Amino acid sequence: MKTPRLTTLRSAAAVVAAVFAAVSGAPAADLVDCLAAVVNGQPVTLVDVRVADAFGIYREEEASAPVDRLFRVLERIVDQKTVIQFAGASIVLPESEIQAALRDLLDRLGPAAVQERLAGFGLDLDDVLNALKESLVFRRIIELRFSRSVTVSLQEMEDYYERVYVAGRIREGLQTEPMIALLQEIEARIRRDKIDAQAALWIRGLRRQAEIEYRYDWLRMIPREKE
Amino acid sequence: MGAKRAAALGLAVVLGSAQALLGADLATVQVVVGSVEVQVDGRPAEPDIRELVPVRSGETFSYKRVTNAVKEIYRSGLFADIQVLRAGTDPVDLTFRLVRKVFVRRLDVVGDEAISPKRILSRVAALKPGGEFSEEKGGRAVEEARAALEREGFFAADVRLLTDRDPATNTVDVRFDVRSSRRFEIRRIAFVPKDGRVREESLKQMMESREGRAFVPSRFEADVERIKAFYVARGYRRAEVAVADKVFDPEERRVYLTVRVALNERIEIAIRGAKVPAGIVAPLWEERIYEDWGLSEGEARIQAYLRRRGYLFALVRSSIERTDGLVRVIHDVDAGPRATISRLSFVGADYFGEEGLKRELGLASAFSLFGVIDGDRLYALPREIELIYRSRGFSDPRVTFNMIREGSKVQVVFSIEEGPQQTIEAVQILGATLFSVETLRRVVRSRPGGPYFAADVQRDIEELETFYQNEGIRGTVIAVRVEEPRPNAFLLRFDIDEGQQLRVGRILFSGNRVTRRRTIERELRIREGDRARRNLILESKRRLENLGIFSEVKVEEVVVGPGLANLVVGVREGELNYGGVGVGLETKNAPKTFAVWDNVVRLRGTAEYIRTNMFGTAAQLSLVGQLSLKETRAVVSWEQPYLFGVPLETVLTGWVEREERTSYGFERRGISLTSVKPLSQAVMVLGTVRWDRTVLFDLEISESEVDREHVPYATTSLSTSFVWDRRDDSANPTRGRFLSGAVDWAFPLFKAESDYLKLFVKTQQIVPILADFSLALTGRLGLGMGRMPIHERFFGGGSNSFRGCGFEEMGPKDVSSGLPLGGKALILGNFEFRFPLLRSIPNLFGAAFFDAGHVWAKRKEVNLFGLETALGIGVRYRTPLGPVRFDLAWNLDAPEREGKPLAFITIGNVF
Repeated sequence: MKTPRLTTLRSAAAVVAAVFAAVSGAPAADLVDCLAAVVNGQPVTLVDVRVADAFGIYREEEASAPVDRLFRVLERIVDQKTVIQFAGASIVLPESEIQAALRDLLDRLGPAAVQERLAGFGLDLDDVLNALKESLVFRRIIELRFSRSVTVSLQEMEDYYERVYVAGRIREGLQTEPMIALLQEIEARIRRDKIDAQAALWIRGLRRQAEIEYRYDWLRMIPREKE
Repeated sequence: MGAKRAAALGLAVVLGSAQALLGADLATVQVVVGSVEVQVDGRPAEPDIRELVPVRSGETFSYKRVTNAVKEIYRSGLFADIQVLRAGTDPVDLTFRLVRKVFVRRLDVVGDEAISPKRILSRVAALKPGGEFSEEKGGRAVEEARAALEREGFFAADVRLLTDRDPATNTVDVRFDVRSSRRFEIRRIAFVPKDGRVREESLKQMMESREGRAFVPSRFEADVERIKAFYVARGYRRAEVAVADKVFDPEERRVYLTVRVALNERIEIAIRGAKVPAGIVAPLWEERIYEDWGLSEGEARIQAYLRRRGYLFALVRSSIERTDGLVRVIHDVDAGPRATISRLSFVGADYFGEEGLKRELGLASAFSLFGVIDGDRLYALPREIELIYRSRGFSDPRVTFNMIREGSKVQVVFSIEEGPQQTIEAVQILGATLFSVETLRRVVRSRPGGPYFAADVQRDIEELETFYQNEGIRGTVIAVRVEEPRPNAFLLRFDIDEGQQLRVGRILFSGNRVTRRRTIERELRIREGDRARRNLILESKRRLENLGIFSEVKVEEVVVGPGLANLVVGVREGELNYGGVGVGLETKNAPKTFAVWDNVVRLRGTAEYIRTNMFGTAAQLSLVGQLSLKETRAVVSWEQPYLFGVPLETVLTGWVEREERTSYGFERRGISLTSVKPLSQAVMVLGTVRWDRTVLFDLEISESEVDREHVPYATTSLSTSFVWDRRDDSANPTRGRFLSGAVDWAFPLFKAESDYLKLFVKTQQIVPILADFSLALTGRLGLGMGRMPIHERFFGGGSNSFRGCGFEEMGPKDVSSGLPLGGKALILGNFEFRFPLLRSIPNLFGAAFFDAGHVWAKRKEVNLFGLETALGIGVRYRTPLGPVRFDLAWNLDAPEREGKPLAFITIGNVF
């Protein structure tokens, strides 16, 4: 008798196929895998993109439409590989950080879902861990490079408070908290936005120097989900 | 613990805890791969390519396995795109669709006739002939072409990329089709700000861009640079000249240009007290610099300049004066007396000894006639000596020197404080299991008792890494720990984290459309099943490149399983056909000074066709024809790298020729077989078997048993020769030695009359003397015995042997005609001193030479006191093919010449 947590690979593959169907809007597509991009000679496959998407490595893209989301995830992977190839050789992550990221993923998706997806893709946990580690290294590089050079002035915080927080709260008919109570949060938000903006500019520059090739056939071969 | 092991342990801890959270167990029912089909460019793949796909029928299907397969296939470097399609759910039938990489064969630009394809294509980097083609690169190339067209004045160009693919060779011809563009006329060129020193009309005169002409941005940029150079040459070294504005009128198709000219202050450089060109200091002041730095850098350059010329005691004091709009940089030089460094001595060089240190510095063999070293090197020597000591473990050597003047000569005494030597107390090698510690100790340079030098330790790491690679082991990580248990005594610990032994699975070939597989295989030094030794893989690549038939060779390792990798040998075949035509002029008679127009001047031509990689065997066929007044020649040769399976480069040559020489003319046809075997980089041996048939005509000497007009003389011969060439450059040698020897034994066979033995030895030594000066000594010895017909005898005279007489005029003469007979003995010596003529023309040299030599009819007549001698001077201009020489020579033993020199113009060295 199957225990609730016992899964066969066959049904796990069906789960993955269902995941693919959710993305593709069609039953198990003919396309299993292909080259999606090549970054300085390093290949990125459609399965790489799908794994990153299935395990929510780039949660910021989850709100996008399915095929658009896959392409956005691909773009994030390309950015990541470009940056790591340029600057990632010397980054060493503490084990505690990796453990925390893995725990976060398990909490977010749930052990059963993680198990099913691993089985469906035929992956080991360390395959997902490698993808997680790469994204952590990428974030660390950005932090190291930009966080020290970014400052947030009181004026900027005041502007943010008035134009974004207060205006937003008023629009939603909610009460506002005093600025003093939100200073840390506002500063962190502005700092994050500035770092992201500077990082985006830097990455654009790196991408211009890199040899990046895309393959687009998979976009045509995956039917778009009806909006 | 190795770093890799520590990381793996950490990962295991993380995974272990995560796995505990998951806690699931997987049942053993697996989805299986059914059939695996592989297609290349839409057609079923050949077995070699099929082997590249590491997924097999019957294996467990997983996306991970498939994606790893896609990545491995891509890494083979053969395919631009890979897709994997499936059919069925269990089993899953897979189709791998591979698209081969396509390469650019030709690039062209078509459209407006005014467009220069060469200029446009020089700025297109995304696509190059021989490079890979892809849609992405094509898109980038179009953008680059558009930008290049705009630089050439073709704005808003509509450029389409047209491609013409050749499936047989996987190449594509690419054309940039420029369908339309806009040109703008320069309406006005203005200069701002208005400055009385700037004369607009003069500036416009020096520009190629003109009002009323088409606007070409690249030309305009060059004009701006020209204006800046104009002002810099006039002392405005910090002049700023830049394009200030470009206003386009699209309707009228006109453009208004504004150039900003800011002259800033004029900078004058005065070097007083010595003749030193200001040009060595002037570039320092073209940018805004710290003035103190500029002055001290200028002083250093002036001192170095003077020291090179023997002013060892030169002192320079510098200052800056400012007046209205003018900055004067003044260097006051006290050059001091000129001196030659006659002797160097080293005090305190206990470790090397004085002579040993001189050898380390390369000073042991210098000629003292021109000074042991020049002054510039003298002042650099302390640093050189310190570096040598550091490499021997002396961490803090101190070197100073004093000069002792003796008239115009200077003795230099170096005082060396060696300081303590850091030595290696012990070398430990830890973590190695695949090789013994003794084996690894032999690889590293660091030895107990030897000097400790950090750079050597780094080199040791690299040597160990290379050792493991060459033993077929990949992924070895080597770290070193350095401890100093006692002062100046070091303990080195090499921690080796050994990788994995890799063996060669299959060896696959790709890209060889013409070349036979066997031709590639025989160059490989590694076989299937061997350990993946890196040095053998690289040697195989080198041998393939040396065949000369491939424009690119890649050997990639594609891991297909634990400890197993396929080798993919990818080649790109080069052009198969080469043709060349050469045209020149020659005169029938030797030109007499400027009376060339009295001579018969005719065309001289050469045509050549070469077909490489004949029948895919790396053999080469060449056809050469030469036609001129004095000689006609047709040569066909077949060259192949192997002879009956033995790696021996062999050339089979057949020829028909006709030539007019001084005393005779001849028609000859023959065939020869030559094999060449390089013994090392510098030494080569050759062996030749030859048969030829010669008929003499216009014989201007008395006939004899072997010298007969119109009667054929057949020769069969065996010759062997060796060449030892240690010169730095065979066309323009500046140092080194050359030695060659040839023995030619002609014997009667196949109705041949030949019966002689010839020996010929050539040697050359080039000795550099200071910078750019050299002495070249060349010697030749020829000895023959037996019945040698005139066309096999030795001759001397002319621009490439003895410059005291004309071509072949040296030696015995025919009694009746007075024309040269040649001889059975030849001795020639050439001594030439070369020196630079003008510093501003680095390839121009002067020469003074002395030639001596003679030709004797018989060996027993050789008399070293009977040599003819000649003195001369000349000018050489160095070219990649050798120097163009103009020589004037005076024969010291020909009073009948009444002191008139002989003039020669030649390409190539005297040899």
